[in-house]
Amino acid sequence: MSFVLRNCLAGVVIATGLVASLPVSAADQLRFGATFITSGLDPAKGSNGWALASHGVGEKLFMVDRDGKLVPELAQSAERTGDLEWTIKLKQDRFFSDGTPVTAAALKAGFDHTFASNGAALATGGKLEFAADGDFVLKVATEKPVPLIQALFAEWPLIAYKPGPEEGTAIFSGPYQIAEFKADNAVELSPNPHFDDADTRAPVSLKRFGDAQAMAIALESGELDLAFGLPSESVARLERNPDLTIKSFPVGYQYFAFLNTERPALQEVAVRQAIDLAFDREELAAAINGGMPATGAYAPYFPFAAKDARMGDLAKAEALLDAAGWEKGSDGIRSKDGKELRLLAITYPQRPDLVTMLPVIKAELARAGIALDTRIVDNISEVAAGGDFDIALWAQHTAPSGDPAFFLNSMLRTGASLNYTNYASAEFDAIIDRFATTGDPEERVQIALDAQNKLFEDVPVSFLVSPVWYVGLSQRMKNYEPWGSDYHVLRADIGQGR
Amino acid sequence: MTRGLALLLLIAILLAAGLWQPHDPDAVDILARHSGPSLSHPLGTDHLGRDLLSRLMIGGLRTGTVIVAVASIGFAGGALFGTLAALLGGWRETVILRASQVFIMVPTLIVALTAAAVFGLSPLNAGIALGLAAIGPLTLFTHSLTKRVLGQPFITAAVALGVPPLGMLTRHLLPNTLPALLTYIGNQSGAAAIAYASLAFIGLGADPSLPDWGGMLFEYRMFIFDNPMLLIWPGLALGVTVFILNRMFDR
Amino acid sequence: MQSGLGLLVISFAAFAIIALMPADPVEIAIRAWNLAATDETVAALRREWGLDRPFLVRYGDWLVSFLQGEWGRSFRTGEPVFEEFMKRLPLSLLLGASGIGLAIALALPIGFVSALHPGGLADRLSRLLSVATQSIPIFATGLVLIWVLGVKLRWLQPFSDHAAAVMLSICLISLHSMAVLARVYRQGLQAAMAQPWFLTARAKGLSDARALWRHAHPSAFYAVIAAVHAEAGWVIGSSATMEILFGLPGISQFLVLSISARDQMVLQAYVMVVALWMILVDLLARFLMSRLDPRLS
Repeated sequence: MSFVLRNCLAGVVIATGLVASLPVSAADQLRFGATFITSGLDPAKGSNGWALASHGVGEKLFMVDRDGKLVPELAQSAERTGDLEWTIKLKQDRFFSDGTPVTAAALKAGFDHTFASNGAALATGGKLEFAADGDFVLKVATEKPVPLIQALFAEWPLIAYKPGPEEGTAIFSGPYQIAEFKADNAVELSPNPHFDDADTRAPVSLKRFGDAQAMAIALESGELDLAFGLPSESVARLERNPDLTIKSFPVGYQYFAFLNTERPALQEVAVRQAIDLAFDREELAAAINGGMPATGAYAPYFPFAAKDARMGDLAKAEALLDAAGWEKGSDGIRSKDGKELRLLAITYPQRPDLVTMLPVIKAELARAGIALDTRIVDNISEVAAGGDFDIALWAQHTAPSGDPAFFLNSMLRTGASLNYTNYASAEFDAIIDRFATTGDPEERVQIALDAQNKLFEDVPVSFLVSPVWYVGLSQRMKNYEPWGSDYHVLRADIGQGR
Repeated sequence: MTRGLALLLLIAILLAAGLWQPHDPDAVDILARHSGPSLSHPLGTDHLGRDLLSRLMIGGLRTGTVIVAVASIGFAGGALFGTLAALLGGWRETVILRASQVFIMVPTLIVALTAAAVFGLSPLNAGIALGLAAIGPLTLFTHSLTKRVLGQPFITAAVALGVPPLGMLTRHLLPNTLPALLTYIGNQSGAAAIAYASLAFIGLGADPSLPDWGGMLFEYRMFIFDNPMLLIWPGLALGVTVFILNRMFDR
Repeated sequence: MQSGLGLLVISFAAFAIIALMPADPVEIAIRAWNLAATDETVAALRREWGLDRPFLVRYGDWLVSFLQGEWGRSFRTGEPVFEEFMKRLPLSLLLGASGIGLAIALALPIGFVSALHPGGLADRLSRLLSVATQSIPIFATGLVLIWVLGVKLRWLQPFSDHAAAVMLSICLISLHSMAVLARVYRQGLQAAMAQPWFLTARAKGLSDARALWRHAHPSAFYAVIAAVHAEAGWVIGSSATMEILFGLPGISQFLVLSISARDQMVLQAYVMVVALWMILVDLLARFLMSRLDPRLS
């Protein structure tokens, strides 16, 4: 062993010596780590639009600020001019990274591309038609009535850009621009010279880590100035390191369990309700070292979040199952008509918390007599779309545009493209239809509460934990304030030191 | 002789431990997590407060299954085809060799991934897939060994003396090929359990609710610096097993 | 020639298996990309990806264009598979080839000393190492090594320094393959030492080490080559682990991302690339074997 090691080390030391002697070109470059990077540069493909905004490359017309408020970003204001028509005034001092001004015509071309190729953009307003009225006025016509166009333009698919000269490329207006993109590996970002205070910004190398544990080590070894989304298990250790600052922050993401209502056992509402009651959310929150029992579909700081933590009740769960004819066998597992109550739960490794929660959920359901097979899949949306699951543990930002409607519309409405639960309730649809008719914040809060109550009753989804996340910082980045979940990891002000 | 006893003892222990554990290996007790050794939990508990000893015990049976599956499938197939090919010669040798060479080119990763996609990745499925994948290389390995022994002068002498084929096989051939073959198998058998852990790491996903020693190493990797005993115990269990297997066959 | 035939068989088998995998790539893509699941969309994607044609026609087409270096387009990224592979292949090849090369280079001296002094330090160490590499998965060794070198000693920066990451990966890969090879080599030497002709050589006054090297080494080395052959498959698994641990963009990491999308073009290309790698190792092994023992060629 020692012999081998010595040989290896000798080689390594020689090699690093060679590398270290090379001139260092970007001495003040910042090194960030995350477990995700954009999978491509076409903002209309997959979830690239979200990732590019998170990288500080792209901007939207409106955004949710750190207090959860909807504020203008590239836009100045928006005004309703008809049932389906809106007029959006743009800020006049904003520039793309190629130096050209952000004009209505440029944005129209970008949005047209998005609406032609990304189904997720259609979720709230249907297909949108754009027209430029002069350089800085954008006229928008929606297909469906939209109560609040500001929220629609804060949704992640609606990233603002000008299509580039080649198919699938784009030019953005955010504080950073992409200098180099290495698929599956890293994004090299340089300051956008046409964004305010460009000279105060250092270039950033954003590296993707396939393993969060490896990222924690990279932070410890001084190779990262910022590690976004540290595994909670390593937080205690990292906090003892005087060179590092670890910050936790509440996130808009919610951890919940989708229940596939088309599966035989889960077609019964009683079984779904029993599952919802069998979960011990305090235990789940403790298992992941951070967070609190969920109150409903939204993180507790949103005005439209439900007020009371969802409570488990094992006895009630058992009573429900007994009443539904699921009887406990000698092995403690329930069955009905000779069929065992055995479910398949899936989740994905990209959010390690979910993997930690999986065996806890198994133990909790076992207490109620429900057997659980578990599986971890690498690409959850594809597997969930395939429908071969009973329970899918999921992490999702449920109010990314500062508005409750998008999540409910895109993931739980009958027939919605991301409705993995196959939940189909005319009553529920009727409740969320009301979102389309009012822009009054008070009323929208009430609609969200009504919709959540309906979900509590029908349980196509069981809300589990509102988590906190951890970000690890070097001395140089210790002023970084995390907010907005992972929607704005990089932004104009990241508090960098020199 | 004592080696055979050690192996039997190992199998007996794995079986017994797999059939009975002091606690439910899946029972979560979040308040008692990361607790040190105690009377109730001799090896302490893991990050969810599950009894580590119980998980080790039930995990041993699954790990044993994987090892036995890989070793027996790979050994039976490889030794049989390899020896046959070398002895038969002619077109039959060519066919067997070509087939194994085709077989060997299918990446183990693809075999395991396909098995996982179709049947789900359980330790046993992984063991069977890895065992099947091992037949090709083992056939070639046995074949080249046998060929080499066949070229030795003492074989030529035995042929000249008119030793019957079966006697030739048992008295002259196998004694010369088996040691190297068994060394190879003994050295590889434990690797299967580890290969499973690595497959999990690559992203196939081990099931944290069906512990086996390899899977436990994967699941507890998050605590490698904070509660290393969680990794040391399954690693040690695996090490002792592998050591016994190696001693069995390594002269 | 025979390798060519083998490749053909492999390519067909792989094509069939991949095409018959349960999940349908079109269905997956429609949900993953949030496309409207209308009949038109489905038909358009099937046409775009060539899935609307009979299986044999698809295979024939694929084969012809594959030979011309046209490996189709990835369903997932929309990029040409050939280019995606060429971007990632050199790194994976470097990891695999250097890993196995270093493993052989280390296994020989260790195995030799072990055989020379059975029960000695080298023998016991190599046995310990062989047990250790089978009880500790490569990612755990990797994590500890990175932590020790990067955090405790601060000797190198395994994540921001690409060369260090590659070197460490190669060391880890070879460490895990070396133990088996050293044991096989030692075993081969020991077996030869028991032969009458070896005793004769000793009787002629050669020292142990010299007799071992001159008379036992060739046959033992032969066994090592045969084992390397089998080890080449494991090395692929090890390098996949390293690619993920260090975030190195190689083909195995690409494969894992493509698997869940059932990206048939990428999977097929991966099988072919690995098959080529195995053929390469095979040819090399056979060349070495025939040099060692001309009777077999």
